[in-house]
Amino acid sequence: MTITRRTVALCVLTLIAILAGANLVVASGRFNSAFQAYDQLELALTSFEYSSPDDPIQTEFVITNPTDERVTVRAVELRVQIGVHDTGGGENRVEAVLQRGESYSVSVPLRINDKEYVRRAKTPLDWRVSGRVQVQLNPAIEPVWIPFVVRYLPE
Amino acid sequence: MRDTVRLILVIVLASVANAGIVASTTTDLRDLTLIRVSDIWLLPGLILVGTLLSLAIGDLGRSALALITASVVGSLLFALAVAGPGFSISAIRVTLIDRATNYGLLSLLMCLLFGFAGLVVSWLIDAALGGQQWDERH
Repeated sequence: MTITRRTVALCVLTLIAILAGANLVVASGRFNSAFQAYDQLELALTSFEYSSPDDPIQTEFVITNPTDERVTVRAVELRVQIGVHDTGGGENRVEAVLQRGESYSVSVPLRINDKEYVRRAKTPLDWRVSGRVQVQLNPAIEPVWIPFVVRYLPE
Repeated sequence: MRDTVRLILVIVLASVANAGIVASTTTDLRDLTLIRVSDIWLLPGLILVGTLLSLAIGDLGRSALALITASVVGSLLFALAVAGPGFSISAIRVTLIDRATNYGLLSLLMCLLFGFAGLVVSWLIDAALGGQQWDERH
């Protein structure tokens, strides 16, 4: 049996295709799992305490990880609005690691910038909290910002 | 018939190789791969695929056709790998499909350009080793 150049080339190409194909399949599988995990994260605003325009609004934000993956929460950024008017915001950049099924409660004081607008606004105030949470599934994957919006109407 | 089967096999292998090389050496997927490949292997890898494809087929016209097909299919595979999560998660659908389109087109250009460079390398090998006569002797 003779081994031709065409056969050698085909064998080398097959070897490269197997290695590169394995990389492609594994990487796309991990990439998909990471985004599925991000999508399953549960975000909830559990506390919103407004006292006066001069004091910060105290908020409590809970992040729950129902996935099988370990998720690192790197930052929480919140903006507070009355209707569509931006009135202030705050952030918390304390890093926390969430194992499977764990929850993380983070306190974010929201500073009011436009105090006059808050004083003049018609009550009950139509508070809206929007923000984003930065989470990372795997050190190899870049952190992802997950945006959210919450509407809060005091009783 | 045998040549057609070989042509199809080479196209499939080169497509997977192109997609895998681009995925292993570009930002989105490279850190998630099974085997770590340095970024510097992107262009030599694509040239090597072009060379091997041409050597495995042996005919210039069919090699060029196979290279174009393998570049298109390989880029499509890579783009689908990047866009994959976007098909099931609506929040990132637009972002990832947009990203996959850009990277897929870039990948197509690289596969074509450096694949054809690989074809030229295969001609040089042919010239150095005496073309088809080499096969006949061995």
